[in-house]
Amino acid sequence: MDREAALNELPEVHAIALRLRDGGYNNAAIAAALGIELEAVQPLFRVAEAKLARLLEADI
Amino acid sequence: MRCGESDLGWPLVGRAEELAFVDRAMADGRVRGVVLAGAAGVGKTRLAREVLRSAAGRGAATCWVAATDAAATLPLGAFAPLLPTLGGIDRVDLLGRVSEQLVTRAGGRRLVLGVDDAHLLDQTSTALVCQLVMTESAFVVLTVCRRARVAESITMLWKDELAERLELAALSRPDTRELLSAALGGQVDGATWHQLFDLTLGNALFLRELVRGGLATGALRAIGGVWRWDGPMGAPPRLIELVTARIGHLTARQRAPLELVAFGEPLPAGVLQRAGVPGGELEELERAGLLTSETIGHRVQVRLAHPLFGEVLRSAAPALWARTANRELAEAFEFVEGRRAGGCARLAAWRLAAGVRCDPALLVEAGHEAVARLDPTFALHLARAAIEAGAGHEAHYLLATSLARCGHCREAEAAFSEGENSALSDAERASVATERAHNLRWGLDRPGEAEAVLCQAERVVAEPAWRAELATARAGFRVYDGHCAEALRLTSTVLQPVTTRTTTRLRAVSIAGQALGLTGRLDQAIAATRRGLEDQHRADGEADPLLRLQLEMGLVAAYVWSGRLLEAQRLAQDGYDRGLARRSSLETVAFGGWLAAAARARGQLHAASQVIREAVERGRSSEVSSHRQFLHRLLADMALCAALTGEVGVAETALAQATSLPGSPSCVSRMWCGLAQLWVTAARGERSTAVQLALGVADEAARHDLATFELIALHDIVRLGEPADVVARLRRVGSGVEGPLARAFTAHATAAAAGDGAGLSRAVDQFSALGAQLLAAEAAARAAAAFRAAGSCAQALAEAARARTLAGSCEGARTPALNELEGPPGLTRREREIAELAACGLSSKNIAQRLVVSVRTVDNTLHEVYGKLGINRRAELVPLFGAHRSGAPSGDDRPRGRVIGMSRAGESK
Repeated sequence: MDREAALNELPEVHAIALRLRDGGYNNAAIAAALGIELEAVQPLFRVAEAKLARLLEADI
Repeated sequence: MRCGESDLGWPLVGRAEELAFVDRAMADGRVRGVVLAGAAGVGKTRLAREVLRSAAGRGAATCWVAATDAAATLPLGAFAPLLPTLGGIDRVDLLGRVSEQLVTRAGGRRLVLGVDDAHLLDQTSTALVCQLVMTESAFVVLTVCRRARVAESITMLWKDELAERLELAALSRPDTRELLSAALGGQVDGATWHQLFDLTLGNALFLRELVRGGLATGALRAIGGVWRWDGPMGAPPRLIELVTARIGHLTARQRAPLELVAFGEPLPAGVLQRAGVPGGELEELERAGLLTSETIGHRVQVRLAHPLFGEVLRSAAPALWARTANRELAEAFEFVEGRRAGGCARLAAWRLAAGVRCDPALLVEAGHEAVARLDPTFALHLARAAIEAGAGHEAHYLLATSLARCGHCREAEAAFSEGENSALSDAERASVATERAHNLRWGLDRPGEAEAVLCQAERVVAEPAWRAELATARAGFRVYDGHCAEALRLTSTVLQPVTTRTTTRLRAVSIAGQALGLTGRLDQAIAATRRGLEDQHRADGEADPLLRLQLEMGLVAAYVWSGRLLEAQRLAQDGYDRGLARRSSLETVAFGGWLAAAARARGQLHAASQVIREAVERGRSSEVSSHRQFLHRLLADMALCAALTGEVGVAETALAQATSLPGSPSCVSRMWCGLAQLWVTAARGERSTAVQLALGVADEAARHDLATFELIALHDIVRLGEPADVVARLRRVGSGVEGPLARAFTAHATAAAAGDGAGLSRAVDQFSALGAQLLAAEAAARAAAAFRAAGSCAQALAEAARARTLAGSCEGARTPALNELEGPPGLTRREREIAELAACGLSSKNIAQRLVVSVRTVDNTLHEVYGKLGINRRAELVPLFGAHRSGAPSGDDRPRGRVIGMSRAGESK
């Protein structure tokens, strides 16, 4: 499974957060786009990255 | 499988990373708490409870309080159950005393305090929580609703970095599937979990209530071991209550536009404005979280914020208002959008729901759209409405076609027959004849009448473009009859002329591709079908999903047979996912069948069994049952998967169902059933009989020039351990079949016949490179035996280890070649076969009847076996042979050598 396919398997909020970050948006913009608190963005990334890593590992 | 509401256990799924995050926070000395935020029903409470349970397991002391609206005005209302009577103390002392009380209860252990719905805490409770955090007396786990107003002191917890705020997302599609499977205790049909996800968007609370409602009404039940939802998926009363509470109190001004969207979403904003909804109101509803908007091209599309809002609003709307809403939508949509392609079906649906007069031409156009979208049920509804509105021949043709596609084949034939004289143009005559012939052939199993219809049409249709349509239909029948040369001749008459219509040409390409594939010209089949798909995409994109399905299925088959297994699996998975998204049973069944075949070829037997089981159950539903050729292949494949894992009972049942389907199977269907039967026979331990059956399949395939099937059957004989019998023939046939798999078959057979360990080892590499892990495992097992026979012990051990590793990835595979790996060495194949049957409890007489030999031969062979193994009695065979076989043959004495539809010598019935 490539990264794009793995992103499609994530919960939507996590996928959007990672895609926005890949697209160069800062945390404030990402928080506004997702309608969440600014302080919640970093924890969201950590959980999203962990989920993505699990999907990519499972496919190996 | 029975499961009542009370039996449901809803495990925590899809939250491993969130739990790990909280665990790390708890271990981090700088962090004093975690705030779990999210929408209602997303699973915050469940997760928080799991965090506390986990902490308790690690030795922490835990406390749980739940804030409520009722207790929100009572000081320490949420904490009341935890506290002793504390009278006559002022507020500052109170907080101190309560903190002390809680810490004392922890008895020196770390205190973890869970607070559910912390946004509802009263002021004193909020102060207490903050005091516990500030004094580091407890690690707090709070849940808050995302849109709720939270006390500032709680907010400061994450603003001041004393606590982490973690947003909980709804479950993903795969997590939803996993949760449903775990809760229901079994496999869930793809279309069902897909639709459940589409309706709930992964909200665990909504999912639970929807499932409970489905179980209670019986709409959700297990059929053939697969959970499936039959009928419309509506919200049960309890779910309606929850969603209504979520929507909140609506003014009349807010409700009307929401209901319009509920009846028509997704809707262009321009349509809503035309229907009298000001832009400002839409923005207000979007800000309130009730609507969402998306810009696609130059249009802004508006939807409700959650699909369930629509269910609830529609069910609560009075009937007269519902009709008014539909009428307003139709008028506004037609004014703004016109009758553009793709919009007719929506317009027609609104007008019919409004109960207003509908233009017959619109209904017919909408019906064609529905047929093209593979929605024959809606097409049928539109056809009937069109006829009622006074439409002519086209509506009758649409009615007959829709009836056929819905699986109502007899009614369809009656409608075709009634309407045949009203067809006036060549286009109409050819279209009616083609659809009618398909219905007669595949739906009613009347091939002679199907041919007669085409012949009759050919006598009166003069226009070349429409004669080509008839020739293409005839070519399709020829392929399934095993007359591929004739099919290719017919398609060549269609493909060359410039007068041929694009869709006819592409259908001919699809049929030619199938014929080329069956006759072993797999590279040509792949090239031609790929070109056809590119042409179709350029010509009309997604306008004809049925044609795309036909082309892609041919391509998947060619990929599987040529050994391009990854490509086959990807293409089949894409088609299957499209079918789920479109709610098309035809696509999910058709692609599901080939997805299972590709998985089986890769040795993913468990995955293949799951997919094929779902495809079989859905294939039996009336819509797809008209495509009977699918069911033969699906049931045969189900039998084959079960046989390869030693599940003899399941395999026999599936095979019996395949062979007892009404009507006579086509030549291609007989091939599939024949291959399944030989492996079912092998799974019963009757290897010699299986070899004879395989020869029968090979011979019939040869008579019809179906080189691909002939090669597969011959290679199956190699897999069953008799390569010398067929190696010369296999090399000859294999030289005419294109693709790397045929080359691997030939190398395998050559090496196996020569007892060439090194050659078999190379064959293992070839199969592995293609991803055909089961074939690789079997070849490795035989390589081990060959090396052992040659005295090369080290190489024998290495290959045996490789075989076990490969077999281990094949999800429970149990085939004769793999059984030899585990059974005692040094026996001939015949000795092993008789010993295995004896170990399963069969008497010498039974064994003799099964293998068509004398009882003396059986006894003599067993005597040889005892000598070689150093044993004295039959009972001592059991631990050596019986343990690794799950499918013990029955004591039934009946010979089982006859292939359904074919004699032992391969003559067709």
